[in-house]
Amino acid sequence: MNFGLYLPLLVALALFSHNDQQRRIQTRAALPAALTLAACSTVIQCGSAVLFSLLPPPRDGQLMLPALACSSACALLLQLALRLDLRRTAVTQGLSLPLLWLNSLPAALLLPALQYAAPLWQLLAPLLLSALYALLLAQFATLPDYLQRLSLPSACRGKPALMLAAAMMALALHGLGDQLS
Amino acid sequence: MIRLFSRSGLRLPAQREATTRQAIATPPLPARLALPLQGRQLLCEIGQPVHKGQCLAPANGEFSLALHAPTSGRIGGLSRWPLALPQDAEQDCLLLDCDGEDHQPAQAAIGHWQSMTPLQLASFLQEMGVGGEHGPLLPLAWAADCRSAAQRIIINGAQTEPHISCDDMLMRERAADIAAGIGILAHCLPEAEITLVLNDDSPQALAAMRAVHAGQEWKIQTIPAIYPDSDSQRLQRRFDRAGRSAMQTLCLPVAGLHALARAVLHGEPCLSRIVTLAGALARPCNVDALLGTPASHLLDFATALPECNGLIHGGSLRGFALQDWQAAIHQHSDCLIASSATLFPPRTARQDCIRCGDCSRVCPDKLQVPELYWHSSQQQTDQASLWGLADCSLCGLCSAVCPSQLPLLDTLRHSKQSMLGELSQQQSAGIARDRHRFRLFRLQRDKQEKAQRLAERAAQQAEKRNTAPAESGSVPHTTPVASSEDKQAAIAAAMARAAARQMPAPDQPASSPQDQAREAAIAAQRQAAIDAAMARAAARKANQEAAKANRQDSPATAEASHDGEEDKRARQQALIQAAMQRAASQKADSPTDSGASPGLDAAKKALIEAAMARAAARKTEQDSRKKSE
Amino acid sequence: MMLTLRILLLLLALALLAKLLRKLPTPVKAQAEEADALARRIDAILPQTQCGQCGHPGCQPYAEALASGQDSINRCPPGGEEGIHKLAALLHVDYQPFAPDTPPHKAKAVAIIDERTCIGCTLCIQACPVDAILGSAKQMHTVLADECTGCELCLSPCPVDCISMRPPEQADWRWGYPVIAIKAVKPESAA
Repeated sequence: MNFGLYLPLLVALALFSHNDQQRRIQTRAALPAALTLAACSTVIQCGSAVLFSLLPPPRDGQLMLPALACSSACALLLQLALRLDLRRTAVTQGLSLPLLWLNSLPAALLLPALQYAAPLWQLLAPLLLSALYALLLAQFATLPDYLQRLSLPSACRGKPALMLAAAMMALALHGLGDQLS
Repeated sequence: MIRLFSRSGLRLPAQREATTRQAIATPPLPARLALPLQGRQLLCEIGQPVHKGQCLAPANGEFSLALHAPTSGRIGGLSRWPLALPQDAEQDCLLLDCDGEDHQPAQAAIGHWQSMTPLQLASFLQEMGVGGEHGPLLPLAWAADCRSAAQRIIINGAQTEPHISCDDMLMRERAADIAAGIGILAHCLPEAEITLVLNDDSPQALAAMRAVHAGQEWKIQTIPAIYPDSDSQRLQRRFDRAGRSAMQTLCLPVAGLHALARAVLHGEPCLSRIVTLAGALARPCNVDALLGTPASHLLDFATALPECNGLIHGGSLRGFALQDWQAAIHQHSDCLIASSATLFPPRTARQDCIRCGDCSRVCPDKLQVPELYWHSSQQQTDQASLWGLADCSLCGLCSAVCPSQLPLLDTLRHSKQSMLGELSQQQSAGIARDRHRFRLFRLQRDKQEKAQRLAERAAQQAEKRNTAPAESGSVPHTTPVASSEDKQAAIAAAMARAAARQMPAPDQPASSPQDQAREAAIAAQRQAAIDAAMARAAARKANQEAAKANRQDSPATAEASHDGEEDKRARQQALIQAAMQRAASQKADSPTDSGASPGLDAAKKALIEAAMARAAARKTEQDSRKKSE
Repeated sequence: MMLTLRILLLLLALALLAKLLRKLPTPVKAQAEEADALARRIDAILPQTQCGQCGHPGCQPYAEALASGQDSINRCPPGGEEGIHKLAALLHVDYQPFAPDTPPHKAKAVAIIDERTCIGCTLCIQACPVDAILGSAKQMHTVLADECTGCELCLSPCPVDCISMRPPEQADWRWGYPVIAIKAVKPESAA
């Protein structure tokens, strides 16, 4: 499993999710929304792990497609469950099906890699990566407020500053991921 | 991590050796004292001689104190005078010109203090001008219902801000009075737990208080002299943390207890306070200064050295500079520091925040000071409140440790005051909203009640009309006639009653022609004044309309408003004519004897004044017409 | 065994999600309720002077007009610039400065009736939106200074022009905002 590419992918996904949510909710609720999305992604991770382990092992060793199917199914189930929530909180937090499906991609990518790993690692890896993802989302939710106070050149203010920060994080995580894998 | 285990705050050098070397001194009487009135009503008059201790103005509310003359003299006047407050705030002050004699009549203790209830004691202290931190020493609201919960009273003799030593000297020299005051308080509140709190670095004061304590019920406790642990709120929290938080805690200054003893046992109102004079002085000391003394007088007594370049009121952390050295000291003036370039080197230029975090590390309330400062300097008080602006005790430690010389304390003070101002504005807006809603409800209710009453009356009349022909069906047409006759009779009776009310009662002696003429003249004069005022109001309205018309540029609207103006002016003229007719008719009604000359003169004067009013009204109308053209 | 552990983790994650969803602020209700709640929130920001300078007969009608988007946010002079900023933040609209013909901002003032001239006509009592004037027909009228909001609606109905505006009595001292005094430096006089 090439964590050197996986971890920057998490950063990109976090940035994209943040942008998507920011369009629909107030700035004050950015952090709770980010944490809710992180919790959804954790649910999807655990759920797809359960589903994947229930499936019979495929004959040709191709694990990617079943993993993708499991994670998509999880995302769909979660979206249905949230929609059943009569308070429509999920709609307020901007948790739409496309967003949930995108957030299920890390799970889909992780599952084949863990198939032949140690049992402890099989249990902990999704959790650790979900925690990292939650941290990334929370950071993107709170960073714009602090970036406003820096005296950046006017070309870099706003979105470009956030993307710069994301790029720096991606670089760092790429280095870490290279060390891991 | 260190913050979790260390008590926050800073142990600062006490700087008390210079001022505590000698006993409390009494400065000579100043030439003039300035006593802030703060809305209280004067009992004396300008120019009246007063003796020392005379009550000049009683308290006017729950949080005010009675004002007494600190020394004998003459009331010089009433004017604005700077007080020893931030920005040298000027307030309306009573100026007392001292005559130097300090004449005081004999005073006696109040005989029955042992049987006073807490509320009586609190009112007595308010009358004697004995103050605490906010208002009277014992808050009246607290005293009114203090039997309901267990009480803990903390006597705050601790002072941890550098340079201030007034409480220290007070306890060294007047311990007996303080102990007597605490004894009175303990007698009045037998179930209360009273604790006297001292610094741990003033052994003489501790020894003095221990000497007079001598087995009484109250306790003495020392606290480490860490600034700002001597704040009353921090002391309360400290004692509450000791486990018994169900108690109501009250924190009283030790100087207040001293004044309590003098008031109860000797009948002396609170006229002076101990002020520490420190800094670049030839004679730094503590003085027993009269309230209202100008700061310059005290500085002259302590002989400011040539390098003194400013005056700071308060300690070295919380103190603020006084621009006008004539500012009068008040009940909360504990220290005056003569600053010099060596004592208080000028602050270097202010730079940007480098996020070193020293301010947060030193903050006794564990606040995130960079966030607070950011939001306060952006005038975002709601964001600053989220970061804990309400908890900030304005101690000044952050400002003192900041390496970039940021004005943290000043910004936080300003921000906290705006926050409190906004809160009080919101409260009064809420009250206004409730009053407005009640008014709308009241108008609605009155309308409904009136409609109901009319409906009931209509129903009653309909009933009467239905039942009346049912009673006598033979003469249906006479009953309406009879009812109309009754109605006319009723109307005539009502008119007679109204006329009788207007005419003077027949049993009253007929007023003399002179009285009647005078009454007529007064009535005419008043009517003339009313006419003049109405003419002024009408003219002002015409001006406003004209100005509004000028602002609208289109000629069509201008014409329309001109026409409207003409109508208005015609209406005003009609109003004034009607008023004049009314005045004339009133004069004609009241009989005037041609022989009564004073009445005639008065009536003539009234006529002349009415004519002048008419002329004035016409002139203002012409002016407004000219302006609009 | 692994499966049970996995299912356990899944249940924990679901519980966490449910807890987060429950803790979040209450979501959007029906449209009418939303407008009403919004009007109430706008009214909480307005200064409650009930002066009518916005063109509406009070603060609540103006708040309702703002909630339904029918009026602009720069119509309230007593609220000042901070009021406009707060309204802009609440309604997610852009900040609009005051229109050029808005009457200038006046300091808070309280009405006072000149008792020598008052004739007891009760016209000002009927005009006051917060019932801050005490009195009745042919009796002396007086303004309750604590309740007066300074709306000046009583000035025009008075036929004898006996009401004037005075600044309120208390002038508290204020901590000044820390400013850096800019001292004028004398330019070098040209030789």
